[in-house]
This record gives sequence, C-alpha cells and structure tokens, in this order.
Amino acid sequence: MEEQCKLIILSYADEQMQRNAALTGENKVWVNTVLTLIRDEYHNQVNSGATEFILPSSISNQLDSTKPY
Amino acid sequence: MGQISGVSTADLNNVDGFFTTQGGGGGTPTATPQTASIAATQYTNQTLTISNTASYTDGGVNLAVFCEIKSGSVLVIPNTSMSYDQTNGKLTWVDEGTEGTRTFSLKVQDFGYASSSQITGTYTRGNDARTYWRYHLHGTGGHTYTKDLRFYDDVYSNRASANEYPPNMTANNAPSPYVADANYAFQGINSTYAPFKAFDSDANTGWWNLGTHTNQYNDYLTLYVGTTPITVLSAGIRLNSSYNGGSDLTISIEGANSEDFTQDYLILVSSQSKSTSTDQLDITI
Repeated sequence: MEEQCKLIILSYADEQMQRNAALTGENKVWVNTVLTLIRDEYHNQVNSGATEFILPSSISNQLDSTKPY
Repeated sequence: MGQISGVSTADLNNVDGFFTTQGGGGGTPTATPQTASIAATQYTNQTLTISNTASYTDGGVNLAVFCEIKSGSVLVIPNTSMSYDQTNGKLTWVDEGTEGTRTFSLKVQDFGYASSSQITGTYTRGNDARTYWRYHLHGTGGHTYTKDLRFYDDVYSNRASANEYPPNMTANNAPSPYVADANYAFQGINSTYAPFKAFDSDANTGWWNLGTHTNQYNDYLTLYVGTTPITVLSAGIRLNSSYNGGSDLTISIEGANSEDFTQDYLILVSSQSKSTSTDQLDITI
C-alpha cells in the first residue's frame, strides 16, 4: 500500500521535479500540494483499515487541473 | 497665557469653543456638523458619519474634527484615538470597554473659520458576547490552509490565563455544544480538511479551502459555542507556510447571535493583514 502511494506521488511529481523544487523552488507549491494531499489521504486510508491505496477523484481532479506541465 | 476666561489654553479646541460661543473675535463659526444619530447598538468597532461635509470648504477635506466618547463622566475614547476619513466624513474608533450608555461630543472647524457649535448624542455600547464566531478570509490569489485557530476571552498576550474556545474538537460537532462549520472545504466539510481540524491542536491537520470554487479566496469558518454566548477578545491563528492565502490575504474576526450573521453582528477584527499581529489577532505562518 505504501508502494502504491509512492508510485502515485511519483506519477505527479517525479524525483527530478521534487529535487528541483527543493533546490530552486521551482514548482514548489505544486510539489507540496502533491505530497500533502496524497500523504494525508494515505494516512486516512491506513487508519480506516484499507489494504489498497486508491487515489480519490477529488484529489486527482485537483492535481490534474493545476499541474504545471 | 495659561487660561482664557478660565478655559485652559492647553486645549485649543476649548479656546475655539470659547470664541464661538462668545460670538466675536474668532471669526465666522464653522457650520454645525450634521450627523445621523447612532441608533443601532454599537460594538467594538464604532462609527459616526458627518453627513454635511459638502457644506464645508472643498467638501470638508480641510476639516479639523474634535470628537470624544464618554461613559458617564469617564472619557473612554479621547479625540486622539479617533480616525477621520475626510473623503466620506466617517469617524471610526475602537471601544473595547464594557456595555453601557455612551455619549459622544462632536465639533468641527473648517479652514479659515472658527470652531462650530458642539453637538452631543447618546448611544448604546452593547455586550460583545455572541453564540457564533467567524474567522473570515479576504484575498485575491491563493488558498489558505489554516492549521490552528483558537478564540480567547482576553487579549492575546493574556491568553495563558484566559478561557480558550473551543476545547480540542474531534468532529465538526464534538465536543458538544461546539459546532465547527465552513462555507467550503476541500473534499467537503466532513473531509480530511474539515473545519474542526483547525480546532484539534494538531499542527499537521487543518481546514483547507483548496480547489476552485465560487469566491474561493474569501471563505469563512464559523464556530457555534452553544446557547450561552461568549465574549471573545482575541484569536490566534497558525497558517501553513505554503498555503497562506497569497500576499494580500487579510483576516477578519466577526461575531453574531444567528447562524446567518444578521443578528447582533459585530466585527472584532477588521481585515487585518496576515503579516501583522495584534493583541486582538495573532497570526503565525
């Protein structure tokens, strides 16, 4: 489940993008949004006993509508 | 000269008043200011408007205004604490005192004229206790993630010994009688970013208005405190550093006795910049 979550995060913000955000601030808010939304959702699903991580459409729609690429 | 006819010259307004009432030596008196009486009960932020500014030179832009507020014989708002907007004739001041009857005294002086006659009036300074308190965002670009919010019944610097509202909340309606609500939250008001998350003392959670929606940078979060109203004198807020409402975000704290904020509406803090902290609203980013 954790791996599923990581893969989804990387599908929105790969390692290079995350590194650039940390080093230069490029797309920093976007990367922050990806990490915050998906991590929070992951913890919610773990706490509710889920065994498979599924990204809700409310989050994917938000990320898809604001992604900078 | 220390006095004129027993009136101290330390206060030039009194000297002007002396000449005016004597009808000579001070020139033509300024037209008496016209104001609507203060009919409605006033709360912390109070207003009195001079309605006849058009009768003064250049629309009153040179008008010197003297106004003070008393509670009985006690001066509660001196003239030096008044703000006068020459563009609209509006006098505003902040009265953090207790409820009761207030008396205002007002006179003005136009450029080249003696002081006007003084007018007086009374109004009621109401009780600040309310059953609904609202945290209101005003911005133009950027959503806001409010991690923590608390209301206090004393000024912020005294919060350690004050009562804080609400206690840690575990749901939008728990513990009773507190109810946290908002006009919007990302994924809905029962979601990860539900309104009560701003009241749970967890720095990793909060109320987030992320997502495109109507009037999206001007959302509000409301706390109902139960049937017994409480007096709030300050609030403390902690915002997420990445989502703090954009550079021009301002915040208001409002109270009322009805859910729609039409009954006994008051403004405790009016559009305070997020980069400013006061004893009424402390903002940490």
